[in-house]
Amino acid sequence: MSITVGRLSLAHPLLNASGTWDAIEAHRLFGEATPGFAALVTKTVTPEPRPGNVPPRLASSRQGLLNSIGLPGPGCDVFVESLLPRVARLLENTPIICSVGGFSVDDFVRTVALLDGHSDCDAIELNVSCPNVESGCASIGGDAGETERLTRAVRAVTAKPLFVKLSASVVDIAAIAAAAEAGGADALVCINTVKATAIDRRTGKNWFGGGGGGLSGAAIKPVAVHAVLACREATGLDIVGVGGVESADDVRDLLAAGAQAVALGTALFRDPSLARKIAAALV
Amino acid sequence: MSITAEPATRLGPFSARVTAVEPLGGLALVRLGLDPRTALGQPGQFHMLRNVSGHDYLARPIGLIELADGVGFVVDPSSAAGELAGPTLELLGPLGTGFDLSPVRAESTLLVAAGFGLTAMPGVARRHEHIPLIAGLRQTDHVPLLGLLEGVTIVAKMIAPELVTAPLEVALATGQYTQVLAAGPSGLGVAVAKICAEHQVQSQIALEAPMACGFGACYGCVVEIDGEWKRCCIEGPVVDGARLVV
Repeated sequence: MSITVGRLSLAHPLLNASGTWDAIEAHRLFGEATPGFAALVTKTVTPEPRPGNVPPRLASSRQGLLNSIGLPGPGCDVFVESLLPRVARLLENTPIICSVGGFSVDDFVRTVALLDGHSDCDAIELNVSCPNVESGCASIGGDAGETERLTRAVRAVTAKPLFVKLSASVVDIAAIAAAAEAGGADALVCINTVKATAIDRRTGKNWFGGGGGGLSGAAIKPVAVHAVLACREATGLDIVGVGGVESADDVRDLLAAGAQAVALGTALFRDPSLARKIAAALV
Repeated sequence: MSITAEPATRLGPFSARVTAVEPLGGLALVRLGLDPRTALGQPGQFHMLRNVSGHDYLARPIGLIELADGVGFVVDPSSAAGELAGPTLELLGPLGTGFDLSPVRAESTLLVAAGFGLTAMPGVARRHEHIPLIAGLRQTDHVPLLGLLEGVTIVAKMIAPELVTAPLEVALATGQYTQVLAAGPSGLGVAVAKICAEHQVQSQIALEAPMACGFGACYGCVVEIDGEWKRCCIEGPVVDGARLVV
């Protein structure tokens, strides 16, 4: 069931969504770094180290998970010099898609230029849709002109397959998708978490320490299906469908909507072996 | 002191039937049809538990208890976690770091635990009879929880708003103790770690934090360790108390 998405050849269409898997810890705890994934998508790397948002970072929801993690990470220099090679050694032949975030075009360009020279990075995903940081990612991805400008600037510094991860929390996702295509993207990733928050019932104020939050899980699958359909109609780009995938039927729905590959996210938290189970059911 | 993680032996969740739910004052003891030799990890480690027919979308981190005759855990039936009373659960684990029991001696180690943190201690008490314990309880109808702690010597029983830190100060001032093992809400853990540091007594602290995955993927369970936000499920839940007083 091999496929090609964004010029990247994969053994099958299942991968993980960025920010939902730590290959190093999975290998230590379970003995497998990427069980059932055709490619690993890394947690989003930013130019500078970030502590992430002040807790609380999680809130429960009947049909999903609310989170406000805030892109914690070591920064691109440490990522490229030590973390990425360490992950690559564990993965052997599984491709690595490096997710990149930032707060300006220059931020993205700096990180992508570093990754372009690294043989362990097989493709790059631009996170222009994180709802949990104060500015940058989502504000770029919420504007078609900014998205095209960013994609074009990044395209100029890398020949690697370039994926752009979109938000459904925008007025017109099709316009953003077309802008990414015009800027030189190879593929789209639809969708990131949907902007959402929770209330602290003791205070009546926002639950999250970091402000904004995003909803993932089963509740957003119909939103993801709609986004994939809209982007399929608006562009000729390959698409990775993401959002609320829990079963082989969910995967089939997103593939039918126009995706070439599908990423698992929150459902991995309750079953880290889910990709393998779904892959077996798809055969 | 080395606090080590026991690797989970299974990648995916496994199933367990609830065999009994027994009242424990205002709480409930949920018994599971599991073999303690294969299901349990070190005291202080946890499992992610989910009722497969319940409302919770994700699993909850719960410490399984080594009972005299099996495996169980404690829930507050009036809380959202009450749905873990069955009938069938999925479990992932054991996860996280447990207590390092190699330096523990009943005559020189003091246990301090409050609330659900008390459920981390039966596994310690089973290996060290008559080990002293300072217990903290949120309310009087939680006192039956202490019945699970066979073999411990309860030196103080504090019911909120009384704090376990007061008898801890007194106990450490005697100079009898060289090691404290503590479990409970994170605020308690930090307070115990500070008092232990002031008395130059080593401490291992089991922290509590809400978790979405339990295996390091989500970064939702961060607590302040070494002066930084670090994942409770990976660095802990049991950490060297010195790392909490940077």
